[in-house]
Parts: sequence; structure tokens; C-alpha cells
Amino acid sequence: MPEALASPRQNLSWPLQLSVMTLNELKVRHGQTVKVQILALQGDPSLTDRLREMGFFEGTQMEVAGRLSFGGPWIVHLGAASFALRSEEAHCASVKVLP
Amino acid sequence: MKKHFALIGAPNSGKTTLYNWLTGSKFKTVNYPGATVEYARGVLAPHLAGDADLVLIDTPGIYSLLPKSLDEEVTLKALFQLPDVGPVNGVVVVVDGTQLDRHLHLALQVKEAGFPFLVVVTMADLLRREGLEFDFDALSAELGAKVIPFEGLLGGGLQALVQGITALPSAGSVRPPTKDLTEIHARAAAIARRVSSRVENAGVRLRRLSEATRSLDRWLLHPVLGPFLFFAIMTTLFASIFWFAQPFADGIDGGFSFLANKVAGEGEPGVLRDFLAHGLIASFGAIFVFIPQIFILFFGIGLLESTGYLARAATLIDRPFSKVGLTGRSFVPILSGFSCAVPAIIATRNISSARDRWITNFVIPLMTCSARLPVYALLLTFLFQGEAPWKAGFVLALLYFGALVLGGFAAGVLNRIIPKDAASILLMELPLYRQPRFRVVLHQSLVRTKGYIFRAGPVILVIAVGLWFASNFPNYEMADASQKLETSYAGRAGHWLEPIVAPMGADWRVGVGLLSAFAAREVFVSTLAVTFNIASDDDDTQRESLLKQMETATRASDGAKIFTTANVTGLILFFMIALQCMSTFAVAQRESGSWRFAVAQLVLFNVFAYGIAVAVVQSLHVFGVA
Repeated sequence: MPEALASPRQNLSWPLQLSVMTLNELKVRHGQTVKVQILALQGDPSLTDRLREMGFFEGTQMEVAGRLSFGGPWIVHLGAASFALRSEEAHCASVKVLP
Repeated sequence: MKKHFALIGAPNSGKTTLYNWLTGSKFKTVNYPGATVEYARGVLAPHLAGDADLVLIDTPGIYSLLPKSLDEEVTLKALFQLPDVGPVNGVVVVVDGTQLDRHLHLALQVKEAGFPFLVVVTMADLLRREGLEFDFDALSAELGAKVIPFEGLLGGGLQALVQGITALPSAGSVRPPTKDLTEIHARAAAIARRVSSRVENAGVRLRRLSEATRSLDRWLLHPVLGPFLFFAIMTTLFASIFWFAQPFADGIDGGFSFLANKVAGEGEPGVLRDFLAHGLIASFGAIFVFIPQIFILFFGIGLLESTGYLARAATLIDRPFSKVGLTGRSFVPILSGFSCAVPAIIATRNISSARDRWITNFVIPLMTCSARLPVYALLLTFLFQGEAPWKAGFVLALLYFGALVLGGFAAGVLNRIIPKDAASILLMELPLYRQPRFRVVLHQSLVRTKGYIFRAGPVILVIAVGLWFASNFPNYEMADASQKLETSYAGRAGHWLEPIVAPMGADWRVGVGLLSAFAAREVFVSTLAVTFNIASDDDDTQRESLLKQMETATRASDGAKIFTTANVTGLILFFMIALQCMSTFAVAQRESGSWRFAVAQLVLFNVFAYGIAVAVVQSLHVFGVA
């Protein structure tokens, strides 16, 4: 795995490692949404810069509505806006699931 | 001296709608992010201008002043280096009122860059309807700039906006923005919070605006149902081109036939009457009969554009596209390629990766553009004469699908050859669904169809005149029509072509048609109408007459039938692959900045088309298909 795509958990302490994942690792049942908070953006700067420009910042809360079939894009909601993110883009966001 | 003001904002924030209101233009507004890829200039509409001498510039959408794609670079160039102007005199930052927290950082960047600016908050009518009364005075104080709410539906707020623009101070020196967005976004988010603080539960109420869209997306983006619905929508669109158009096409055909017969039966026989009836009217009739189909195609795409479904379609197709080196962002240019390759190639500016853009540009000419439609319609009508119309419609839908598969194959090959560059990005905002405005879509489809007629019309006219002359002279007085054609200038030139087209099962007349199709593909049909000397039988319509002639046409050299199942299949495949459009060639060269790219595309596609057509025709003959 290239360095840019390394796991976001590798530098975290053990208890924190359990609750932190990349957006790509999230499990969402169809028809449900999962509320998450972005903890960090890392990886290819061209992707992280674009994510920030579109409103995905550290601390931002969003709802994840799942992903399309066969590993297709993730659908996430940020306020009133919805976005489609490829898995490479979703991998850049480390998130924490909110209750 | 004229002052220049640029309208900038995030994709789909309402810039083009505002621009249309300000300038009285009728630019297409599309519910799809990245629909504008070139800037447009327009002067302020006279009823708004008064003494002001303003030029407004509508720019492609940007999320920040740090461009990531070609269309965003266009916006930056319009701001900092507008040709003959330099930096613009001021900037109108267009902000979607339902997305303040995400869009305000652009206003802060413009301020930081040193441009005089004001902010227009769009969707003001929607906000008011939902009782979301944001504190725009506070926003104005925070930004140090005028803030004007704008209602896109009725144009409310225009006068205040024009006053605001004319009152902007003169521009000082401008500088590029800093690259760190974190701090500027934090400031923007804090401002948005303060501006909405007096609105109770602003976040929840804003989210409610998207409830209907989210509910629809549960179906349209469903992991299983979504792709199925996508396929169903696309199949319906392309198949309906054939089904719905038939009665209208018959009406037009009847009209032109009546006209041709009327002209042929009036006045003294002579060159002029002959040319009008069998040259000019026959040529135009052969093409115009397909206008209902072209209109239905434009209308269908227009409906999809205006609802907001296209962005979902791009999302659904991203995964399969990514397997062949394309991205979901390639979908809309490729879909546009089904109407015309020229705007489709320009639309690829929205794709940030140069490699993805290059591959998309390369495969767009393979899509079934509207100019191919008359050719397919004629050849399919010939193949399915006397059979249920759905069969031809189904095969037409297959041809559209086949174009996609072929494009996918070509992209897959390129994907293996071309080394990977920067990351391929999808990251697409999905706009709210909107009810299509039928009147607007109808108007835009009519404008596009009119554009098609005006583009094809002069070419048809020139070719019709030239071809009629070439196929009637020098032996105009000769009584035997086929002898006259055989010994005409066109006949002589065609015979030179015959050895090349004979392996496709064609004769010199089809060869002349294929050659004339390089002026415009659809001219192939009108060329056949002239070289087969249609409308000779007064009882038939022109199309029936052409189909009859095609049925009985034989090659002079060996007496073999020209339009057999195998040969017509070969012709269809040739048209499916060949790049015959010179406008496409020119725009491909301009957008790629490379003659090598454009020439390689031209040569490869045509050689491949010829090779495939010959191989299929010969193989079908071997297997006993006539």
C-alpha cells in the first residue's frame, strides 16, 4: 500500500484505534444513514485539497448514506448538500461514528 | 470605458441564471455541476443599464480560487487575465443561500485577492418560503461588502445588484490567494454560524430542504434498483427516438413529396425545374424527415439535465467507467456526444485529470451523434421494411448501446497504454432534484434543433447543387437516366472510388455518398437521394421512392445487389466507427492542443471503420448471409 494510503489508525493509541476508521471502512445498511465526524484528512493532496474546498474539513459532521453496488461511490450528506465520493476519496477521510 | 465584472461561484450556485437575468441572454442553465466550461461575456440589459456601461462575464463554477481542472482555470484567467482587459474591475460572488457555510470561503478568497466585490445570495425565494431569514446585514458587515439576496425565478433583487456593481470602488492591485484553505474556511464557517444564529434550528431546517431529494435518491441510487433504473431510463430515451418520431417523420416526408411533385408538374420542363424537384427538394426532404427524431433526442437529454438526474447517472456509471480509465465525470460529455461531439469535447474541461480528459476526448466521436441518426434511420428502415416498428427501434437502441461498448473498449485499450498521472477524481456534488420546466426544455430543444438545421442546411445546399450538377452533366439531354448517371461527372469520379468501396459491397453511388458524408454525415442520405434519382414515381413519397430504389439497386460491374442485409450491416458499422465530421476534428485539435492527437484520431477511426465494415460484410457472405 502506498504511504499516502496508509491506515489512519497506525499512529493512534489502542482505545482510539477501535472507534476511528476511514470513511471507506464504514458499514452502512441500505436505507439507513450513519452520522460521522471527520477527524483527519490525509493522503494525496490533490484529493484532500478538493475535499476541503467542497466543505469536508476536520471536525465537520456528515451523514453517510452508503455506497453504490460493486464498490461504487459513497453517498454522503453535508447539511443540505449531497456528494458522491470514490473509494480513493473516501479513504482520505478518517472518521468517528457519532451516536 | 467599459467596466468588466465577473460572476463567480460554486457549480450549480445559480450564476448562469443570474447572468441571463442581467444580460437578457438565454444561456442554457443545467441542473448539473460543471455545466459551464467556457466564460461568456454580455453587456447589461438596456432596461437595467441606465448610464452604466458594464460588461458581465459568466464563468465556469469553482469551489476556490485554486483551480483543479481546465474549466476552473478558465475562471481564474477570466478574473486575473481577461483578454484586452487584464484583471476584471470587480467580482460578483454568487453564493447559494442554502450552502452559506460551504460557499462563503470563496468570497473571503476574493477579498483577500484584492478585488472589489459584492455577494449575491441565490435561492432567496426558497429561504424565504422556508422562513429562513438570515441576517444579511451582519453578513455584509462581516465581509465588508454589499450582500444582495436574489430570486432566480422572478429576478427579484436585480436593480439593487446593478446599483451595487456600479458603486463598487476601483480595483487596486490584485494578488493570487494563499493556498491554505483551513483558516479561511474556519472563518467562513464561523461567519455562516453568526449569520444564521437568529434562525431557530437553521441546520435542521436547511437539511429539510433536501428531504425530497434524499427520498428519491433512496430509489434512484439504490445499489440494485439504481443501475436497473439507469439502464431503463437510457433505453427508453434512445428507443423513443424511433417510436415517437414516426408520425411526424411521415408528415414531413409527405409534405416534401407533395412539394417535389408540385414543382415537377408545374411550368416548362427544364434544368431549373428538374434541379428544384429532384436536387434541392429531394436533398432537403431526405434530411428534414429526421428532424423529429433529432428533436426528441435533444428534448430527452434536456429533461434529464434539468431534473438533476445526470449527476446521479454520472455517479452510477463511475464504477464501470473507472474500469476502462474513465470517470463518472466523463458521463455527461459522453452523453452530450450522443447529440453532437463538438460541445461534448469542450465539456470534458470539467474533468480534472489530463489523462481522463484525453481518453474521454478520444472516445467521444464514437458516440452516436445526431448526424448519424438520419443514416441509421434510413438503413434500419430499409432493413426492417414491413416489420413491426419496435424492431428497428430496438436495433437503434442496440446501436446506441454498441457505441458505448465500443467507446468502453477503446478507452480500455488506451487505459492500458497511457501511463497514469495525477489522481482521477470523481468527488461530485449531487444537486437537489428539480421539477423540469417543460417550457424551458422545449425552448432549448427547439433552439438546438434549429442550430442543427442551420448547421446542416448550407452544407446540404452546397452538396445538393454540386452533386445534382455532377450527376446530370455533361449528358443532361440523354434519355436513359441510368446511362446519364453512369457517364456523368459524379459517375466517373464514383467509378474511381468503386474498387475501394467494393469490398464493403458498395458501388460508386454509395462511394460518392460516403465521400460526401465527410462534409456532414447526414449528407450521405441526401446524396443517395440524388444519385438514386428519387421521386421519379409520383405515387410514392420520397422516402418510399428511395427505399424502392435501394431495394432494386445493383452494381453495374457484376449485377450484384447493393443493399443486402450484409452490405447494409457493413455500412451501419462503418458509420458507427468512422470519424467523418470536420468540426469534430477541428475542436479535438483545439482542445487537445495537438495536431498529432487529432490526425491520429481521424486516421485510426476511419481505417478501423473501413476494416471492420469489410471484415463483417465478407464474413457474412461466407456464412451465407446475402
